[in-house]
Amino acid sequence: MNLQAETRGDLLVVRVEEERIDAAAAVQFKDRMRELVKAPGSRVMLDLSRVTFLDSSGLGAVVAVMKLLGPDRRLELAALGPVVQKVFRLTRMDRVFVIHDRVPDGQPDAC
Amino acid sequence: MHADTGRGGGITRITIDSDPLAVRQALAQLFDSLLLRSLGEDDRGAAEIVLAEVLNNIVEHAYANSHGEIELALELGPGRLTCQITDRGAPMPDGTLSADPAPPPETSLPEGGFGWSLIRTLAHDLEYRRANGVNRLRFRIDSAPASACGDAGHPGDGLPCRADSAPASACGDPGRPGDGLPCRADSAPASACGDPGRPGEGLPCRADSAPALACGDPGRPGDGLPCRADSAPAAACGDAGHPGKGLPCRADSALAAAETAFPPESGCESAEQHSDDDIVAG
Repeated sequence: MNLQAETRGDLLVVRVEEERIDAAAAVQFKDRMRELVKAPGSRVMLDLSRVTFLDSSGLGAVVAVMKLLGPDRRLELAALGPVVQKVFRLTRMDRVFVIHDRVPDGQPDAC
Repeated sequence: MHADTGRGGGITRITIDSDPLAVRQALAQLFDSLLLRSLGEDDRGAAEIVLAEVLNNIVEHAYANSHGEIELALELGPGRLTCQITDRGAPMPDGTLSADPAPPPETSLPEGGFGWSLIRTLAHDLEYRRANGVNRLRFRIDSAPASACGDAGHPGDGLPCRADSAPASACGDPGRPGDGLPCRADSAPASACGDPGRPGEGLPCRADSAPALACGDPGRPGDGLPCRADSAPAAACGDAGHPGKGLPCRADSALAAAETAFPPESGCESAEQHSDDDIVAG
């Protein structure tokens, strides 16, 4: 499971470099995310622009990541493809997460 | 994994090993095939979700991650994809498809239990049989003929439509998303009959029904007419910006399926369900 993390100020952007977060990948995804979110930052954004398919196991893993962040850190999602969007909508999980059309441009923090 | 693919009589057959990676590869193969390429993008998405959930349930529960084979037979007909999936794993609990999960305890968000809701929402005519040590699950994915279903601005968005009809409020009305779709032969568009200000004006309504949009809506001409007991138009029910708001949906309609999967009023916590996995375990 290839995940790329980048810190932008207090935002940690994690790009999923895989096409699928499915039953075969859900456990790896959760484990990798657990390592990555050890880095400091108050917000975590998951860039799903490369993900074309997510099943209920993948959705469960995303929810698990949100829970392991605890109440003080938010998990936000960005760039959902049509099938991923459909899964979130039909399970009403689109109401649980803050969902962005795309990852915001990385602007360096003003000094 | 191995995947034996064969086509005959318009039916595509694939046999795969009971393994998550084999499921992934089989889905990739299927959705790259000519058979499923002819489906619209939205229907392909629905079909892939349902097949993934069904297959993963078999891997995880029927075979409980032990070795076994799963056979798929897919038939693409006009407006529909019919699927039959068989395995020789453990039967479903009670030998039957369970009822929908009970209302959730309002504790925390679920990490599982989404699969069966997705299947029930996207698949039609689910049928399970256990005979001679074989589980057989049949279901149908309907193509969306009406633009109201799968219309981005519409509550029915992304849900499959029924093969035999356009939503009553969509046909013949230029101001609505379903504009121009054919209505069923035996009925006038519900929003059109009896309403002088609308394009469908003058068409006969079905004897057994008032215009769906008009019933229960005091601001419209059809106000006061009895509605059919069994239906509101799918497009009308539960839509805040729509005159039919609040009418019951047909039990078999796309929207109804979505609403019953998770009750609309209870919000995020409503997704907390007993694990589908427990229920589907076969």
